[in-house]
Amino acid sequence: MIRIEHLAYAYHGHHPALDDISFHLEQGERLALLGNNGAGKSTLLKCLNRILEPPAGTVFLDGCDVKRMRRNEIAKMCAYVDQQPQMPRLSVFDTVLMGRKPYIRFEPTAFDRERTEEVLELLRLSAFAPRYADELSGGERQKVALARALVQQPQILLLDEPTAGLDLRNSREVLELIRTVSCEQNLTVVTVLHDLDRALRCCNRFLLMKKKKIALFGDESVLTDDAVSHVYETPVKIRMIEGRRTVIAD
Amino acid sequence: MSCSAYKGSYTGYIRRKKRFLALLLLLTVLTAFAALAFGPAGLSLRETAAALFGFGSPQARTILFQIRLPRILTAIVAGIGLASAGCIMQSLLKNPLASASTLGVSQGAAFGAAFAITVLNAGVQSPTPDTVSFSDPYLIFLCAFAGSLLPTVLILMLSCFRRVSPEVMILTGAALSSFFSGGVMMLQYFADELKIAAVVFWTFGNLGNTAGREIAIMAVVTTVSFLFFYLNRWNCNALQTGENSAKGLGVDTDRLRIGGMLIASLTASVIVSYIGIINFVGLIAPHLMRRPVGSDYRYLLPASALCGSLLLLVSDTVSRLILPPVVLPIGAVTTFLGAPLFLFLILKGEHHR
Repeated sequence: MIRIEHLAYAYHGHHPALDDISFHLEQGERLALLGNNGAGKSTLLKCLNRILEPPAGTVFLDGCDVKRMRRNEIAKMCAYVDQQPQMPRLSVFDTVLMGRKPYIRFEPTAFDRERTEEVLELLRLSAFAPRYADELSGGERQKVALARALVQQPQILLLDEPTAGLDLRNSREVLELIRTVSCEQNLTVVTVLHDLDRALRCCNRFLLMKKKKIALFGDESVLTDDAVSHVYETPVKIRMIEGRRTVIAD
Repeated sequence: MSCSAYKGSYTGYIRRKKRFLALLLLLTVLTAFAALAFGPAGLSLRETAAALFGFGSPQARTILFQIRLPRILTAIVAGIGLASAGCIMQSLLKNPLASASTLGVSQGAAFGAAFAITVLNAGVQSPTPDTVSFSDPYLIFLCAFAGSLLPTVLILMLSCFRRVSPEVMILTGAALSSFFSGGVMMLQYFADELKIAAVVFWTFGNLGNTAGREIAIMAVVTTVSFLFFYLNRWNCNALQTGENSAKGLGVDTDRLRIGGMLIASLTASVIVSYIGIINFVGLIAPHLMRRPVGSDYRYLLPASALCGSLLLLVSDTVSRLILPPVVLPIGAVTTFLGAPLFLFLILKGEHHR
């Protein structure tokens, strides 16, 4: 579904942020991008749908080179949710309906509205539909942004720290939602996460970055104490607690 | 909330916006008729109505069709053009202070006009104390238009080649505004009194200088640009979610910003070059409309356009009626009405919305 070959990126042409990144991901897999601050996780995510245009390397989405795709085509295949999404002064319904933008020619069709209603109900946001989106709380905003992304009917969901700034209950709810939707709709998910423990709950593939490069990539078997401690440059233990792999950081 | 309940609530929310737009349109039409009826000539409502349908005295018809109607049509067209350009500039630059007057378009036009009047001898003062006639209005228009395009071209070149942020674009506009204001002062310093008077008169703004052809040109430019803006209303809505999210929704933000700024600036340039400096309309109309219709550009754009027309119609009527037979400068009246209104909105916290 996603294949990346020798990707490199430098901010303003001379501040390297990614160096020779290559990996591939199958349909329906959920990938967590992990690593310390400044490792290049968000930059890598933004290169996947050409928010940033990498000067070297290639990104293939479902076999198509993103450089040759129009933005609308990319948006139909790939939805993106920003870290702490900005909410416009629009109703929640219109904010979510905006996810149909890649399909709207002049005005939204009945199908666009139906799809919006379905997703609002799926994410239990119907009650917020007439409210202004910029008046919502952090958790509600995150869910609205996620709803907007799902309304795009993408095959790939790109999420930049979807739990940033959320309390424990909201972050659990959002991650559970991502996992459920991905399983039900066979969605490929790439998400930047800071918390390895939450990544273990939500994702089945893990890419750990260190100094602009890939340090580890694979399923949870690659996450050994030594390897993870090396990436985070701090002692980390992963233990089975109540039948689930749990991170214990000293 | 049940599904039908929230659908009903949302339908009501949309209906309120549409009803507001309809009311605004009605108010604009009524104000236009009122502006036709009121003036220093003292025509009664009956005389105005008769003249409008081709009856009444020749004098009344002349006043209506030669003086008042062109002014009113100019106010409507210029109001729509300036306000919709301001609305779109605020969206594209993500800055509530963006407008033709804050991006240097008006000051560039003033510099061009001052250059035509002082250096190219395109303006002379007429003997009457309250009006100035220009010997070559077309030359003034061309120079004002060229001058107003200078900041636009500079800002867009920076945007294309240096990929500067919207913040840098608006700061560049502010710097160029000061630069062109300095240029006007310099030209005035070396000009004689008559030319200085002509420059000052041009910068006052005047809705009475336009006839059928000028109004038609402004109307065509305004219509084309408004259609372009309206076709991009969903893109403008997407921009409000941030640059990255907008790209993720399929918006080519760079192309939209450059194309939109070019068309908005061209529209403002054509209008300002014909009627002179009209401050605040492009800035304040979108702000006034954000409270009743929110930031949804499907409604904000037409509401701002109508509000711009209404503001100019009211300002023009006030400028004609406050000290008859003297017609006060429209630019000063819009500023006098606009500045306190803007201050009121700021104090109400409207700028945060």
